[in-house]
Amino acid sequence: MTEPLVSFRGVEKTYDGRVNVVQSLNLDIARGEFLTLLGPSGSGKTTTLMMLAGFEAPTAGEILLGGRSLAAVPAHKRSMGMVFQNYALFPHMTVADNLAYPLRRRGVAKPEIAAALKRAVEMVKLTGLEARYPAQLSGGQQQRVAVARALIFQPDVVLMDEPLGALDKNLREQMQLELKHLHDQLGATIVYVTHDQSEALTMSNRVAVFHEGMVQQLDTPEAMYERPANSFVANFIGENNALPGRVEGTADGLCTVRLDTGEAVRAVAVNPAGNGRTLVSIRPERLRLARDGEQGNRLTAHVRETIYFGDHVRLHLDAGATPLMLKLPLGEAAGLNAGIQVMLACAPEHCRALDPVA
Amino acid sequence: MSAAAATMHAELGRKLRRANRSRQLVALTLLAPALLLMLAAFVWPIAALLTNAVHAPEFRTAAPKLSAWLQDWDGQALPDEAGHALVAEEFAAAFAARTLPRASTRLNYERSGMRSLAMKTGRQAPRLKPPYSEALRVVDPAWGELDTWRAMKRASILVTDRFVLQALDLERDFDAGIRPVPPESRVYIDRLQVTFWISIVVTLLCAAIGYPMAYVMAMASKGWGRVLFILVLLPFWISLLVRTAAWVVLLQKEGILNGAMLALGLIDAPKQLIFNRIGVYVAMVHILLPFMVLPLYSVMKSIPRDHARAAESLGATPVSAFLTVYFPQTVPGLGAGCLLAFILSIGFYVTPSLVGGSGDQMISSLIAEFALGTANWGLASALALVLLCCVAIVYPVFGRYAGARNLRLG
Repeated sequence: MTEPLVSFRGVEKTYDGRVNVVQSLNLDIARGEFLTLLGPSGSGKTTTLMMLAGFEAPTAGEILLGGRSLAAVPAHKRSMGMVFQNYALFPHMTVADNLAYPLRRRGVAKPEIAAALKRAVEMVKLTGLEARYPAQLSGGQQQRVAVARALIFQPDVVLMDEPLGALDKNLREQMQLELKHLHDQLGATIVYVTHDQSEALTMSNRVAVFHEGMVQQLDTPEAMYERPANSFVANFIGENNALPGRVEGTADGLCTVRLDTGEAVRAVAVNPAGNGRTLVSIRPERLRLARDGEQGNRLTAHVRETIYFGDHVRLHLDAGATPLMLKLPLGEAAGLNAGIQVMLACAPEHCRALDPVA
Repeated sequence: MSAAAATMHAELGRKLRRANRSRQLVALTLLAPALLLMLAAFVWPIAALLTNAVHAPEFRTAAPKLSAWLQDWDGQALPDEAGHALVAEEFAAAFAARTLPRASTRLNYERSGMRSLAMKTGRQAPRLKPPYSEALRVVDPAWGELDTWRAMKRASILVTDRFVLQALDLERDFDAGIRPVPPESRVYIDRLQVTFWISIVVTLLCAAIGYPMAYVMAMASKGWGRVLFILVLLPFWISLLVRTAAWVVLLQKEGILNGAMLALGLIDAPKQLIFNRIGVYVAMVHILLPFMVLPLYSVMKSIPRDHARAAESLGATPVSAFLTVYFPQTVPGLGAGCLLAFILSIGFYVTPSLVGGSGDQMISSLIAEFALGTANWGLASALALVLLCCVAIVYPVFGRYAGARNLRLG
């Protein structure tokens, strides 16, 4: 990685002097990267964004932009365009005035403003709506204005705080793609905050999963899903089967886990607890029905119910006291009625022995 | 096929109209009490009051036949015997019915000296013998003057502009039209100016004090916000008279404020803080402040805090963010607050008359004095009419420039 554009160095933040909402954060953001801060509410992701924007000051550590500390730089001098959850468009200004606002504040000359305005309006496909007021636009159009306003002055970093949260599902998915394309096209550095994991996986170059003020894992979307670093990430990103058990021995990075159901499986030893307790994480699509006489990881389970999903069938099962879920192609689900005992299989590289906290 | 469709459409239309009619009926029924109250307690009294300003039927009531005859008289030459006979007849009748005093007051408005002429004529009329033209001239030679008859003709119509003119310090000179009254008897324009000046100053003071106050309230945490809100509303729980009297106690020469300033050595001798303009400003601002703060607060509360942050992230300094983003959005609230404070202060009279000096009496004090003291309803109504017209001019001007029309009530 080349010289990072933004660096968080040991950044901490507390509001009440007792609990750190952000704990010793170290995070590097590369130029041109789309980085998503993902986490449940109260995990510290928004606070991190606000510290970067300059609306909150860290209680410890420092934030660097291009190698220089931002500690003494007020928000309006940071060159960070921000998109807010409720858009924060100025209701008394037209679309054009909203878009020109950051340029006027910087004393840009009128002809340049007009040119930039034209480009921005074309970029977000709002041509013809320049004279409208925000209240006269649909949610998606307002969203586009907010994005264009944050991009128009070519800031060093564009910050987005759950910008799609107020849109309905279809529009949200469409806007995700549009944002992704805008990023590809402009090469802007974007820091994006969301609690929606599918949004994070769709758009980001890298995702930082936040929980209790700590970054749990910082990785590409694919690695985040395929190789979760701990149980929190495994559960938070996508769907997950978590089987409790105890590690009995480790060899070549693989360990043997005696599950609480009594069966033994081979799994990748990621970070089981010191006392050997572990949760084995298996993605639903990696579990399958075992062929007769097949060797390797075997699990006995009882079918609880089958749910038809159109393109696949979901099977809810119980392995002892542990609920399991797996996805089956349509043809394979015939005759799997409730109560039937089935044998499941999963390759060891797709079983990950993680920390036992649920 | 299409005929069937047309029938169906007609049927649908009928059903819709029926459904709408019953809904409108219900709405009207629910509104009826409020409408009746409005009519009885608001529209009618105001209409009656304003009618009083121009309505002067006294002479016509006292002398109906003479009034009708005067309408036909051209006013060019002295009337013939018939007119004189009607004067003798109806003045005698009005004197007996005791309607002559009020009619003669009305006559006196039209020409000075007419009151005594009318009363004298009324007293002597029963004893007069024809020819009345000569008999009346014996009672008073003024009956031989054309102006006497012209004044009576003017008094015989129902409408007068006298009170309205008087309220504007004007009078009708019956040769030269309307002219200002002599400077020494000008009263009302001066009062009107004082009223407007006090109202403008009070409104500006309310805005200057109320704006930051509302801002702090809107920005405060929930708990503090509630405390501040109660503090703003607290004055409403106390009678206006008590609050005004409290200012007398505070601001008088031997009062707490003067005492404190003397003790601190800020002043050498007690300052006159009350029974002058300062006292009026202080007491009125105190009373009107909530009317400024509440609309401002409700507007400020509705402005998302993200706006200031958005402006700053886009490169605005905090001051410029306030001026370009926050303040413009509060203008409707400021306009509404100013309008409320201004219109209410124009109508103030208890407070200025209690804590002001003689030069600080507002137009409402005069209205109250004429209506309740000297029972000059015509002038009281005319002053009220002038005041109403001023407000009617101020309101749309405010609405246009301060955006009060943007304020959404509900």
